[in-house]
Amino acid sequence: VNAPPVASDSTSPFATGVVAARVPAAVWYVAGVLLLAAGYYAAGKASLALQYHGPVAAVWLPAGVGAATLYLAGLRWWPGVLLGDLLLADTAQPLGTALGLTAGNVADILVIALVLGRLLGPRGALDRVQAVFAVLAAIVAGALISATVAIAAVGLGGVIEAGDLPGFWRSWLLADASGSLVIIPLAIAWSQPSSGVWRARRAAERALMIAAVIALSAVALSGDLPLTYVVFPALIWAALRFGQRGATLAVAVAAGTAVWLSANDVGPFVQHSNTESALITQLYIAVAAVTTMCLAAVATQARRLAMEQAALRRVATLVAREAPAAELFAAVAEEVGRLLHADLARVLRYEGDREATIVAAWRQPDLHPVDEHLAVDGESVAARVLRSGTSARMDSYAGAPGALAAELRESGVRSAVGAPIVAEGRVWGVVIAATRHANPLPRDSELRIAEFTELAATAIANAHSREELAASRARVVAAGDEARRRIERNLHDGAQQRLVSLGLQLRLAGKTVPPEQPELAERLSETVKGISGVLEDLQEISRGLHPAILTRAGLEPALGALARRSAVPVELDVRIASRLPEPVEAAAYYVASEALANAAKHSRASRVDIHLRVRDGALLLAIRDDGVGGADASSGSGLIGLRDRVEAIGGTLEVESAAGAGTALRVTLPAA
Amino acid sequence: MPLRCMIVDDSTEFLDAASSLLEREGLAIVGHASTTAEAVRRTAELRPDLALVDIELGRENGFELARLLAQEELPRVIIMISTHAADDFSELLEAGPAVGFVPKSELSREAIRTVLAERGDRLAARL
Repeated sequence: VNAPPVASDSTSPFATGVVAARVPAAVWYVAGVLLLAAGYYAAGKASLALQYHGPVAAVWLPAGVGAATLYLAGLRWWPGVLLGDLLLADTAQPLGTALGLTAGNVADILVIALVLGRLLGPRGALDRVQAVFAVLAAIVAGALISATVAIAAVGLGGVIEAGDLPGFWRSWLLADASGSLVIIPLAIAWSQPSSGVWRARRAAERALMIAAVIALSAVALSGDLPLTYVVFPALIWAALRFGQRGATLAVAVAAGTAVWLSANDVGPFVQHSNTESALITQLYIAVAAVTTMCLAAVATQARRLAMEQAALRRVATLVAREAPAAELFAAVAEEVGRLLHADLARVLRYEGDREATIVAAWRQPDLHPVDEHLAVDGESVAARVLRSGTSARMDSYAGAPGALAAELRESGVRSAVGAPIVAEGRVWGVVIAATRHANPLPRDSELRIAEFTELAATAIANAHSREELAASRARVVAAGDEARRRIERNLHDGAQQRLVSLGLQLRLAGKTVPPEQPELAERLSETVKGISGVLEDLQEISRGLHPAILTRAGLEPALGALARRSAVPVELDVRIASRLPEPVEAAAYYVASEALANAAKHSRASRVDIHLRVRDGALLLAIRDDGVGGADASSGSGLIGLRDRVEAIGGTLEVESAAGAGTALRVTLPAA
Repeated sequence: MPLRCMIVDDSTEFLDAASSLLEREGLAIVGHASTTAEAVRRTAELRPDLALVDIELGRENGFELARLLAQEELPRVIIMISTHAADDFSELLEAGPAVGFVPKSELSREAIRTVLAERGDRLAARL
């Protein structure tokens, strides 16, 4: 047997699962069936009590009670409907007619429950106009069946004259439909986890709203003037301010008041003919119900859209200001969880095709906290999203295979929805919202989560591009340094060495010149001096390219050499325990070198202080002169090149150079 | 008796030029070496009075070699040489065991004597 497309939970709608566990299932089931039958019977008796002296009640409530129960709790409770309907049967009627009417009523209720399951999904919400029309469609379909079966039954049974059948059919249809229109939305709205709008209002405002509905209904329907429309402001108030719960409750109150007054022969709905009275009442109820519910749905949609936009804007702001990944994912989890009224939300990053890491967790901190590793197996939203690469849901974890599903079941999670984070063409991770409520998360949850996963994906791609850019900058700088080092080496090993040897050879030649050739000796000596001059130039060039001492001996002696050659006296305070990574040494050296050159050229300083420490994996370099200040880090000075070099390896450079207050450079470089 | 001298440098061109000049100036160049290992072996073998050690021995470090030689006290006197200027390496020269530094381009018997004389080394008398 195929499972019905409605919630088939083992828990009864009439009590909590804890009690259900101790009582044998069969006893429980029988009790539930009897309770439904009693409710159905009571609703029928109430409808008949408010009858307008005719063969058909003005509003038939049992159909709504039965259909709402079967839709929300499961089709398996249908015997309760059957039993209740048989108890209500008019014993004066022929048996065939009574059985026919009962069959029509049961069919009506089953059809409504099935159509609702189809159009709304299991335990859906009335938060969209389409959902309101889905309910309307289900009710009309059921009522058409019920009314048609009914005229067949009474026609064949000869209970009613053939000429009265069309009127009977219309009355039956409208009574059934208007009753259902009051009861079913009420049940659906109040079975939803509260969306907060109802609870957000003060009890006094709620009471005032209900009182207004009753009072205006009484005013409108007590006199004979057709003032029915005065009830609508109260209904609109309910719809706009109190969400679906308030709207459905207000409709029920308005309908109840109208039927009660009319049944007591009061008000403009009371006509000469009972059928006409009933018709006017039914149309009033239908219009009030559909209008109010549509308005409430639109208001809910607007409210939800505004909240969603605000949440998206908050996350987008984090993306735009390049917030740390942990902060961004935490925000995504929280916003998704709150928007969907979920009980928990998680952001997972997939690791290969079997595992995932929790990167953000909202609510229920004990279950899968941040940084926990999960085996993504069996049937779960995480596994389904990973397999399919698209959004997925689990409307029930009951019986789902796998350790993850079992763990979620144990912790009370009943359903979940997830959408993938697709970054740079690959399923990077998933955002999941889950609920412990019997109602699964709404059908559009996937789409709503997806709006956030797109932002998350953008952030991931941005971060990746930034990392790539940073790595590429660092590579460019490293390649430049490497080239300078190589040129310095080649210069040293080639031209410098050969010139040195040449000089020595010339000196040797000078010693072999006979004393009678002083002019030649003089010439040779001049040449040796010339070579020495060239060698000094080459020394200067190779130092500027890349100081050998930096590679050979590290930053501290290299800064010492720099200080000794500086035109402005330098006070060095440098403490380094061990050698640092090459790019860090080079960056610090060039900053110091450029700062000293600037101090000599522009600052008219009498002294420069260089302070360098390595602390907590960071190199801190401060260079301060007592010159005229006014150096501009943004204009085409060497400072821009320095900043590029420093930032390329993930460091920062700050310049402070107020006019007359000297220039201070502060550099921080990652030195781990 | 001429001063027995060994030169450690990774450039053969320089070794040739320096040897010829210093020999001409009356020093005895008893041997050459281009690497740390070779220098250690040859000093043990030849027992020179003085070693001239290039600060940069290709990938190897002249200061490291100077320390190794100083531990053995063979030779007793080490002078660092380089194409770089002295003030580029002053911290390392001060910290090292060498008695002094002579730029390669200025290498001569007189330059060596000056360094030794400044330190009051008795080897200066033999130059």
